[in-house]
Amino acid sequence: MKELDPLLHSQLRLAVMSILMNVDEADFVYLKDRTQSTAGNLSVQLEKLSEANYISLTKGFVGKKPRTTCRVTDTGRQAFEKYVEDIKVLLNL
Amino acid sequence: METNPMTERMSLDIITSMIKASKQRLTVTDGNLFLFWGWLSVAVCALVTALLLIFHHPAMNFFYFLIWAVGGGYTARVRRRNAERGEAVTYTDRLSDAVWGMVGWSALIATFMCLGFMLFSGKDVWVIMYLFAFIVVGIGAFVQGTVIQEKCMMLGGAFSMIAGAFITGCLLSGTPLLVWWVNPLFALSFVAMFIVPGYVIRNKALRDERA
Repeated sequence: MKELDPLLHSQLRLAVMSILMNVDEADFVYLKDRTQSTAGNLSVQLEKLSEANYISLTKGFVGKKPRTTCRVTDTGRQAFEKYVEDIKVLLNL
Repeated sequence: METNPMTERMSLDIITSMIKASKQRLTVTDGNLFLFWGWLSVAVCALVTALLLIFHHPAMNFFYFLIWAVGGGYTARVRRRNAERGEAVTYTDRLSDAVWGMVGWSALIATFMCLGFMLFSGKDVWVIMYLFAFIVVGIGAFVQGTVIQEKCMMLGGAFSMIAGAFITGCLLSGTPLLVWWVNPLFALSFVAMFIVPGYVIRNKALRDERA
């Protein structure tokens, strides 16, 4: 039985990774809006993905407002692709 | 969205729905931005044409700077507003930024070059800016149209490049470039490059939003 990557096998983290795989970079507000999550929860999950080096976080400012930009790393990309492959195997797709 | 465990089927559903949610199509803002640049260029061209026909002084061409000043300010404001609302940047966005960045910076350098010729050698080479507007902006519009797969923008860019080739031919053959036909051709190029595609993109985006 294939074991799915536990870091990706979670709704919010998987949603974030799915979005980031589709764009070059996305900011915190965009991810929060698209995943319909709370700021606190999203912040925690982004930190977990960042610690695993699946995404990179860049903190900056737009005017006086802080802005966090997220980008998927090569490690994250490979992990996501492997996760999708594993799912396909498990579902016999 | 929760962080609870889920089934493999749920995983696939999340991936599918998030890809769908982040699939960036052209937005109403994109169409509006093209429309703004298009209408601004046409309006400034009409103003310069009127002033040239009334005062018969080449200095009236300086009013073309209004396009860069007003357009640049407006674009910066739109970008900032989008960033504050939250945004995702795609590879298409990066390519578009690179294209228009190249067009903008080379226009600025070409402007100072013409200014230098005027100040240091007393030569009026401002016609270069017409060629620039027709050919370089035309290339920009063609590339942009290719990137966003908008055929009418590609055609607009191609029209502008052909008009630029015609103007070059006139210059090389000594055919005088007269305000009464060059400026309307300039305006027509901007209608083809930005105004028509701008309305098409905006209508498509509005239709997508309603769907």
